Amino acid sequence: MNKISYESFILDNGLKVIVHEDPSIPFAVMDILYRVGSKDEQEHRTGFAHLFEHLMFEGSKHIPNYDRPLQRVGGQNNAFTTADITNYYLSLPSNQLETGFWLESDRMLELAFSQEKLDIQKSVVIEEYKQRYLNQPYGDAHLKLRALHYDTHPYKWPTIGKEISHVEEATLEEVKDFFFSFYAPNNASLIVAGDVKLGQVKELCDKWFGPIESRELKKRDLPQEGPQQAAKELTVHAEVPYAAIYKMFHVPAHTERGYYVADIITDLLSNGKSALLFQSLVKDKKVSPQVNAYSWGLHHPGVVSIDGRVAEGVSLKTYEDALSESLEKIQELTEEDLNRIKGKLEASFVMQQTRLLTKTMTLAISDSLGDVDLINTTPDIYQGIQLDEVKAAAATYLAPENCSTLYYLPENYVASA
Amino acid sequence: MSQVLDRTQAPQASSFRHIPLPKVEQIKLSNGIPVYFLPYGTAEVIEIQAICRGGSNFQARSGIAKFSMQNMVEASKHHNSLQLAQELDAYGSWLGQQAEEECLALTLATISKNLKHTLHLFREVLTVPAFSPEEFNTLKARTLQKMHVAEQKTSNKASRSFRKQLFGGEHPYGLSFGSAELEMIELEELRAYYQSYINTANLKLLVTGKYDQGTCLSLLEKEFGSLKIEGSVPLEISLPDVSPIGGRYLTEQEGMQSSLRLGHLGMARSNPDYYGMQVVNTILGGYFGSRLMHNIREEKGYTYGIYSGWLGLKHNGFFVVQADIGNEYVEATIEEVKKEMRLLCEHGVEEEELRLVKNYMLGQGISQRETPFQMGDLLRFSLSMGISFEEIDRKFQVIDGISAEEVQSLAQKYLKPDMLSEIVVGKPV
Repeated sequence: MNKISYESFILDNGLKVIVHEDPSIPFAVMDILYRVGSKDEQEHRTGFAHLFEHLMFEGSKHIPNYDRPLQRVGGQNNAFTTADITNYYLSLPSNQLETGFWLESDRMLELAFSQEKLDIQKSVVIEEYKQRYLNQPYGDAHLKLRALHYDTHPYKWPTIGKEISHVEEATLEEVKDFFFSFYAPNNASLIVAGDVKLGQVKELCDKWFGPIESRELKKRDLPQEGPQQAAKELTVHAEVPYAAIYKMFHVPAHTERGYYVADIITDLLSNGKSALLFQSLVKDKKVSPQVNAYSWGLHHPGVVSIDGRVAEGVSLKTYEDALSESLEKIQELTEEDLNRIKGKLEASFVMQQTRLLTKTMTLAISDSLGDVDLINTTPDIYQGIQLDEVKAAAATYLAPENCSTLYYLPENYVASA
Repeated sequence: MSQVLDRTQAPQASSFRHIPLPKVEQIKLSNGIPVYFLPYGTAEVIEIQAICRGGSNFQARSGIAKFSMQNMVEASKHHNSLQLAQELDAYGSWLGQQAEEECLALTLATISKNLKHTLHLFREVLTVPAFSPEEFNTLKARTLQKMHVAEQKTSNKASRSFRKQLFGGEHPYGLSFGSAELEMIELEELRAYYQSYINTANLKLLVTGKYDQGTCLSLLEKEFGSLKIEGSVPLEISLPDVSPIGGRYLTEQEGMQSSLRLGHLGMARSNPDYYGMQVVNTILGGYFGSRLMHNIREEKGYTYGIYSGWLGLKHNGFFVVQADIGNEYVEATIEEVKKEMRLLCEHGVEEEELRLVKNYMLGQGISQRETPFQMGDLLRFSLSMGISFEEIDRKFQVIDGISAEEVQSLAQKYLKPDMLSEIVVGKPV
C-alpha cells in the first residue's frame, strides 16, 4: 500500500501546518481543525461548539460573506462538529488556492459578530435539531442513550445540544467568549493537500496566517468517567413501527491500542454479509432486520455501539439472547476469520486513498489524535492485532456490566411471547 | 519592504483549467462481448461493471428490476451467501448492483492485485445466480421492515406523493418502490426478469481504475470469452405523454416539521436546453449559496436546508424544490419559493451572480472527475443512455458561454411558478 507523504511545520503563533502534494487532478483541499468540541461546553450551556460552527459561515472581520467569494472561484466547503473537534474544509481549483487562505485566515482572526446573525443561526440550528433528531423515527435514541451511558463525562450530551432551550438562550457575549477561548492559531491545525507545493504553502501561510497572534486558551479540566459497575437500562415509547434495542459499551480512547482492538471487534460483528451479527441475527435466527456494531472514535474513553431493530413478532428477550450468544461466539473465532476482516480493512484503506478530501481529513484527524503519521501506521496497527487480544478485549468490553441499554418501543407495545 | 496586508481584497482569481474526459478504448472478447477500458487514477484499485439494457423503464410493476438485482447479488449456484461474502472479504472486494432507469448493473470493486481472485465470483453471480427461496424470503422480510420505518418519514411520503401527482399512478416515473409494491413480488417474477434482461447478447463490460490492460483483458477473456451468446437486447420503449396538473396535496402527520415538495414537469435529458436549465436551477436552488437557501435559511431561518433540482430522465423530466420546514413556516415558504421563481423570470440575473454560479459549476465539474468509481458511473451513464462523452462535456461549454439574457429567457420558457404541484406532508399551522 502506498504511503501518504507529507511535510509539516509550525508557525510562530503556534499554527501547525501539514502539506500533502498530490497533483493527479488540478484541485486542492484545505482543512482547518480546531481542537474544540461539545465536550468543552458547560452542562447547562450545551450545543455551543456546533452553533458556533454555523456562525463561522456568517462573515468575518474583513469579509462580509464567506461562501460567495469561494464559490466565485469554483470552490465549495463544509464543516462538522464532534464531541472532540470542529473541522472546516474547502476544496477548490488549485490555481485559486490563495482565496482559501484569505478566507480561512480572516475567520481565524475574528468573526463579524451580530445579534441578527446569531438569531437566524439559532433558528436554523433549531430546525436542524428537529429535522435530524426529533422528526425522524428513532431519531433521538442516541441523545437518550448517551445521557444514560455517561454519568460525569461531557460526552453525555450530544453535539447538537442537550436541549433546544440551550441553543435558544445562547447570548452574543457567550458566543464571543467561546471564540476567543478556543479559536486560535495555537489551537488549530491546517492541512493543505492536492495540486500544491510545499514552498508555495509556506509563503501563503506566512502571508495570511503569520500575522495572527496566538491567544490564551481556556484551561480545560474535564471530569473523567469512572468505571461502570453494573448494567444500566432505560425504556422509552414513541411513534415507531418496531421495537429497537440500542446498546453502548465503554471502550478505550482512540489514542489507545485497545480502541483498535474494539474497532476490529465491531468489524467482525457487523462489517458486511459475512459478519457474525448479520449471519446469526439477520440471516439465521431472523430476530432482526438490521443490526450494526461500530465504534465512535472518541479522544477520551469512548463507546462501541450495537444498534438493532427487533423483527416483528420477536420478543426483546429472544433478540437479546441471540445477541449475547453471538457476542460469545467471538471466543470461537479462528485466525482465518480474523485474517479475512484484516484483508477487507486493508482494501478499505486503499479505496479511501482515491479521494483527496478523505486523505486530507484523515491527516487532520490523525494529527488531532497526537500523531499525524497515524495516516500511514493505522493500517499496520490493524494488521498487527492478535486473535487472543481480540478475545480478551471482547470478554472485557462486551461484558453486561459494562453496557447501557435503551429499549426503544412503539407506543402501546405489547411484549411478544 | 513588507506591505500591510489588505484583508478586504480577494486574491487575484485565475482562469479555469478543465479536465477533459479521457479516451475510452473498446475491445471485443472472442465471443463478441464488448469491453470498455477507461484507465483512471493513481490508487491501485479497479472497478469492473457488467451492464445490460433493462431497469425501471422495463418492468411490469414497480420494484421488479431493483429487487431482482438485490436478490441476484445474494448468492450463486456454487457459493451460498456466506461463502460468497467470505471470499470477497478475504480479497478486499465488494460486489454491488444498480437498477437504473435504462440499465441493470453488477459491479465489482477491488484492489487491483486481487482481481484474479474474485473475478470468477463476479462472473458466477452474473451468469448463475442462485435466486433461492430461502434467501428471497429473508431479504423480502427484512427489506419490508426497513421500508415500514422509512415510510414513517414525512420526507419519504412527500417524495413518493410528488412523483405520483406529477406523472400519475400508472406511469413508470410516477411509481415508487415501497412496502405495498414489495408485498406483491414473488420469486418467480424475479427469475423471469433476470432471464429476460441479464444475458450475454445484452451484456457490456466496463473497466475503470489502475491496472495492466493486457492482464485484465486475459482475465476477462478467461471468465467471459467462451460464454455462448444468448438472448437479445430489449427494444427501446416509449412512455405515455403526461399533462401538467398542479394543485395542493396535503397529507396530515403529527410532528414538528413538514416535508415540502413543489414542482412541475420538465424536459428529457436529451433536450438541448437541459444544460442551460442546470444553470438556471443552480442560481435558484441548486447549491448552498442559492437564492432559495439565502432567502429561506440564511435570512429567515425557516429550515436547515432547501434545494431545487432540474432532473432530466430518458423520456421526460421534472423540476422540484424540497425542504423540511418548521410547521409554522410552511405557507410563507411556499409563497417565497414562487416569489423567487417569478423574480428570476422577470428580472433575470446580474452578471456578478451569474459569474459566481458559472465558476462554482465549473469547479464542481473538476471535483466530479476524481476517482475511478466516479468515472465508472459516468461511463455507465454514457453507454446506457446513449449520450456520448462529447455531449456530456458540452455541459461545460454551455455553462462557460451562457449569457444573462439566455438565463432569463430559459427561466421564462421553462419555470412555471403558477403551475406548481404542491405536496405537504406534516402539520402546517
